[in-house]
Amino acid sequence: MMMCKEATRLMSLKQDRPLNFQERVSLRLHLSMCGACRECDRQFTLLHEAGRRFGPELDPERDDHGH
Amino acid sequence: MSAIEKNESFAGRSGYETWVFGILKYKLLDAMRVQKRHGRWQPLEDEDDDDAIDRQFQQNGRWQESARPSSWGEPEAAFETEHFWQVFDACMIALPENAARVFSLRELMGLSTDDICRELDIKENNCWVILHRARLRLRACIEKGWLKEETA
Repeated sequence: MMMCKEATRLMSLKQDRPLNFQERVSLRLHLSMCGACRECDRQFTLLHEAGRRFGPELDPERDDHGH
Repeated sequence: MSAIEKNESFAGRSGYETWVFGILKYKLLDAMRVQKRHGRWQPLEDEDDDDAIDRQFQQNGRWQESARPSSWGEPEAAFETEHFWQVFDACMIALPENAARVFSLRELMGLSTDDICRELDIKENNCWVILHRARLRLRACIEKGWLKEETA
């Protein structure tokens, strides 16, 4: 049975790449039973949204560090 | 430093969040320029400071009572609060250097972990571990600084 710490790993991973079937199922099962983790999941999503919100203003000046 | 120049141009409330991200951006770009001179980013030294993370969980992997996440309310409402961005800013600064760097590249600049790993010459798995720690630290820090004061 997956515990909260491991669940947060999947919540974080979810912001960076699509979870596979097994990961998705384990996470959903855990979230269905754990209110604290549901909040954590929302918080990670909020952090992600906070960054994205200002994306257009954050031209990373790719030419400056790329190539 | 460009962050200081930014500070002087900060004109008011409405621009606060933009200002915060502006600072982070310039801070990051400064670091990139320095690193670029060496031809490559400095290797990410291992930061054996899982303590801050481990303190959030019990031995059995459940949340510590004191660290259990609470609701932050609606994201839009939070984003409109200047105080939220001040706390966010302070918490970003409090992050360990590597965590702040990888988190900024991923979430503020929107690069993929694949790109970040290539840029920093680290394994993608390492990248995910760093991001996981960064997010746990940030959430704990923001919750302490923001929510507690909001409800006080």
